[in-house]
Amino acid sequence: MGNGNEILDMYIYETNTLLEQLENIVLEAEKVDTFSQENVNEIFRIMHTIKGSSAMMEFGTLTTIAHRIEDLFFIIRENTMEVVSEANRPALFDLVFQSIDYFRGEVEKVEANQPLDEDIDSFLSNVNTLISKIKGEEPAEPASPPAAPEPPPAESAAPAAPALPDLPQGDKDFPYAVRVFFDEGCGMESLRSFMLVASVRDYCAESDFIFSPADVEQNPATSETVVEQGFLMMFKHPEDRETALPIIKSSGSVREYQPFDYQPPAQPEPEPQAPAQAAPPESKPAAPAAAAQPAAQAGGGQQHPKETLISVNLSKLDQLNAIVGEIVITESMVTSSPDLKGLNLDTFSKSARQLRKLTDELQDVSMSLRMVPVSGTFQKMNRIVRDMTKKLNRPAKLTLIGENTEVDKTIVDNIGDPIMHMIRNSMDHGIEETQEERIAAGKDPVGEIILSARDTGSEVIIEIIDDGRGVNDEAVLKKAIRQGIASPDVEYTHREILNFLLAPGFSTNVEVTEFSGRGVGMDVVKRSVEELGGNVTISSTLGQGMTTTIRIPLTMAIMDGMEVSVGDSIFTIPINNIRSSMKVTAQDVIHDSSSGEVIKALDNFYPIIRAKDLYQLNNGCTEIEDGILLWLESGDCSYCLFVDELLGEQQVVVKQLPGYVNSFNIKNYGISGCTLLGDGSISIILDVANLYTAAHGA
Amino acid sequence: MNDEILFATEDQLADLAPAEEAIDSQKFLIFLCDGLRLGVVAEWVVEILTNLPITYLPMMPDYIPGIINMRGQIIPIVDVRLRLGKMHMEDENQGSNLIIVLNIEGTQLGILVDAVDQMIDIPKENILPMPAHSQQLLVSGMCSLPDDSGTMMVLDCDQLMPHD
Repeated sequence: MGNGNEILDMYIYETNTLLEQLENIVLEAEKVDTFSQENVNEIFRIMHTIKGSSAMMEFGTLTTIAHRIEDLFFIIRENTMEVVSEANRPALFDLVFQSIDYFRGEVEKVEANQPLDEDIDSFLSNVNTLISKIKGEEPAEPASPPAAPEPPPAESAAPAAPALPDLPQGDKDFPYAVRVFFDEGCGMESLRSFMLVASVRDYCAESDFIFSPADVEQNPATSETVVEQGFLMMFKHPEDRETALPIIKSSGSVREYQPFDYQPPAQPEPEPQAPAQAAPPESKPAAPAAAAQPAAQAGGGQQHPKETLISVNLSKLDQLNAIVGEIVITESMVTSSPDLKGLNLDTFSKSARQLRKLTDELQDVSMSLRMVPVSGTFQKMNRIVRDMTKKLNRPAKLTLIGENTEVDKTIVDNIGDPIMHMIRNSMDHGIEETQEERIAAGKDPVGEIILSARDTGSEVIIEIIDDGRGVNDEAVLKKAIRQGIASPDVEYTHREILNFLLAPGFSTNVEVTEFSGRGVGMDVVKRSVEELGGNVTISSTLGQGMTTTIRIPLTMAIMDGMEVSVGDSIFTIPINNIRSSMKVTAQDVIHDSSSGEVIKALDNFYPIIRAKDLYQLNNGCTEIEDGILLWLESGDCSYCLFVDELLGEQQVVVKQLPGYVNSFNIKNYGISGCTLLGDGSISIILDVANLYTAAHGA
Repeated sequence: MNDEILFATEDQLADLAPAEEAIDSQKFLIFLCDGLRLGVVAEWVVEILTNLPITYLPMMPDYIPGIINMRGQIIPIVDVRLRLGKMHMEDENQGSNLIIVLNIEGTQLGILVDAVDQMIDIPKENILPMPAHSQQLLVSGMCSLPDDSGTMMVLDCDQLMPHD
């Protein structure tokens, strides 16, 4: 069972990677409204690979479609982009996007074990129409597409490809030949032949062998030739052929193969030899040589990641990280064991230091395993902007900054949807509806959305900036009042009004559009970012656009925390949230009207929350002089937490609380997790924002 | 009998199976709690721990005194006495405790008890349902112990789960 699934997993993974690559290429190409020859080659190669692997997995429909698109790009490759007129280009780009979506959809079905879409006729006819359109425009072009039933016209034979000889007998420069026949009806003979070539190339220099038909890789029509005449490989040296035989033997679907040596032709037929003789192996006929090169490059490019990258199940990584976390803790348990107190152990301390260094390194490495660049997620947004630009007819461009910023895999997986929502929002509500509006406002007619990521060492900041209309405070407030989120009698600050945007059930657009406006967008963004331990803030200037800032702790598994004690309990507060700590006297504390306590710091007043009272702890300081105040900040809330003592800063491995206790809504009281201290005791990690809400709700 | 099984279809086998299971016995771990003998299905018992410090977790119901660290795993603790609405153990010397760690369908949970008594095999048919009018907290059935040492109440682990 495992084996088949692994192949399928590999297929899904590979196809998805290729599709992503393809999408990026097409998006880039669309910007300049043309495909460079390099792009065409790349697309050709991608389609070729998809076709090959789909055929191997026996997904007939996928194979057929990939095949047709490959044909399409073959035409473009042979004739350069010139062949596609300006008028047809949008159709071409759309078609490629459609095919990407189609493949994605089908691969998803494969993944979900659902039957594939059998009805591909309309899609195929789309491709065919475009092909014939392109062809129709260039009737005089000598090199007709390979899939065309008629053989290439005579005048193209000279540079393009060796005209197929009736039954190639070999070549005197490459006397050691082998002819391979594939199983009848196995299909894709040209591809199978090329796979043989590829495996022979692994050990045999390209100049040391030739094969016929020479254009099996690009020309699917050669399948027929291969079926009829067999696939001929000719080697310069007998030992190369000897090595090739077992490879051929072990290849799938090979019916039979016949090694034979070249004999000078009995009835001299100048024609079959002409191309080969005229061209020494190094400068083979132009087309195959040119084709072979990119193919070889592409092959190299494909092999490269295979050698340096492996894909590992995420759960294994999690397990590794958990164990490494335990090792780090156990290490400090051992080295700071109370049994060692008062002993003078030189060698032990030396080894202990060495151990600590190694465990630190181990931890760094294991943490870095989970880090992946955000570029994948960012790139996807290009497509969204592109689609919306088309649909809404509002030109806009997306600028990506800092795509290489690396964040934890969990974050990358979960940040996609929030970013997508924000981008859609910017496109839908932010960017002005018409270009005239933008010009009148003195802006570039093309809207701009900047998506940036940067790493501050402790957190990653993702910003979505648009240069659109900005947020109209009045409209937002009116809407908020209508939705019952805001009260009409209260004066709200600009910041508070912006926060309404993030409230559940709020959507400023009057109509619900396809892209946004269901009123679930923004609060979903907020919620999913908060689930990652981050927060969202919005800032906006009317008429100048809006900036959404998402801050997420770089990794959720390890953080720097300040250990504090309250009575017998030990709490961990994320260092990021601590602004400062201060000792105060009873005189500094101001009592407000509702018997709350407030402290003045840096010309501002902050409420005091006593951890002991909030959590109803039995022990702990009651006199403000005995303890210490920690000035905490998270998002919008800023307050002082009163604790007994600061125990010190420590890097801690965050552990989730068991589901059993989480079901008591403990997270709402500002308790977000726990961590194990060096001596094995548990410290409770506080969530600064929720703690504030808990204290003020209660 | 043999032939019957041999030629039985799967459906019929399923019919035959429970008949055999009925005479099956179940292993119980019996512990003491405020003078009561409570039994818990032995398969669920992961481990018995003594004198492990319990970390107080604020804002929880009082029958959850906190969490423990069992070799890196965080396990919540339920105090069975308090859960049954009884008083704290008297003359409790601080720091000493007895925790039975259970794994109830994937959820790990420690129960704080007074003492562990014995492990015993009880035929399933001997376990009687609780009399309907005397619905007891946390107990799903009871049975007399074979050595006449008393009656065992079967701990209803389902009720320990937080959905109640």
